[in-house]
Amino acid sequence: MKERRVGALRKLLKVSLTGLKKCVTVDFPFGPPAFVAPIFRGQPEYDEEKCMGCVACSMQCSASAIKYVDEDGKRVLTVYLSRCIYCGRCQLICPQDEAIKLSQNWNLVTDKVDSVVSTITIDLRKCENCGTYFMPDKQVGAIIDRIKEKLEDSALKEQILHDVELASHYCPDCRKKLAIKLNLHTRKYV
Amino acid sequence: MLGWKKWARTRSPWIFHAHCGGCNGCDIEIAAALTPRYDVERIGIVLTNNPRYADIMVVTGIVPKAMVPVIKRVYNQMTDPKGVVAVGACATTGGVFLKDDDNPTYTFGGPVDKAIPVDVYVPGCPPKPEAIIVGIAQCIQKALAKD
Repeated sequence: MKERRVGALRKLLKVSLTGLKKCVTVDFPFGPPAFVAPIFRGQPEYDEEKCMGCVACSMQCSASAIKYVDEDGKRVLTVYLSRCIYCGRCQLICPQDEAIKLSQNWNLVTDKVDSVVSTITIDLRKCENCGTYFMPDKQVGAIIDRIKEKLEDSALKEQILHDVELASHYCPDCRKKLAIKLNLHTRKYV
Repeated sequence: MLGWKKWARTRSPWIFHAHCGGCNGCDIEIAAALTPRYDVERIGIVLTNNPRYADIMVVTGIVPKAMVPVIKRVYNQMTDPKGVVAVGACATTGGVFLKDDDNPTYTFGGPVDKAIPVDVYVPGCPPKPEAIIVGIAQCIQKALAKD
């Protein structure tokens, strides 16, 4: 007990004496800002290469700061930073290994509320039958990759991959309509 | 007036801190800006408890319905020229308390800009003390630097 008290006292003395060595005040508005901790959560930013546009971040967002619009074959994901509470749930839930990541940028001061945003634009895939846009291109690729991983050395591997590749060109409605024509029904596996 | 008024007004802005139903996170960051680490008083920014002496009002929190008339009254008590800085996600847009745009929390009186005109928004939950200092500096340039 006594040792701990002496240790605490020594620590206190050490901390109080550091103030004598140098000026602790940060000369901020005229000089560089203070040290930013590595765990600091700042502006969320999208990774152009990794992000596939699955909008998992938008669904998970606790302040509904992440919104998306599907228009003219593009999906635009926008993080409204004035609404964001920097909880990091988007980064945690992202299936693509941190395609959205909270950076160290803290300087987001503005005079227009909706002007501070992080955005990303992703191409959507067009249905070859009816011409509607139904899913991001990269997400289709990611799903096929995941199916490949799961299949490993299945006997039906080639057949399944062929069917998946064929079905990936059509929207869900057309897939149902063309199931017999393209022979996509899973009954043949049995 | 040879820029005398502008010089005097931008020299030492006095801050009135209006706490409108926040979680105290932003308020502690404002207090942190006054500590020796950031020390805003060295550049002339002083906290005052009377809106009649204040040049800039710093608002934190979601502004509940009960606080809307109060904040309007406090804003009218301030002398011209005056500026308002909204600090934190709640004050700027509503943050987590406005998850559904049409159906906010039942005490929610709208973000600050629905009640009074806001000059500068400081997003963050809570913002860093540096960001608050930058916001106040921008507010001085925007609202107070008039001749």
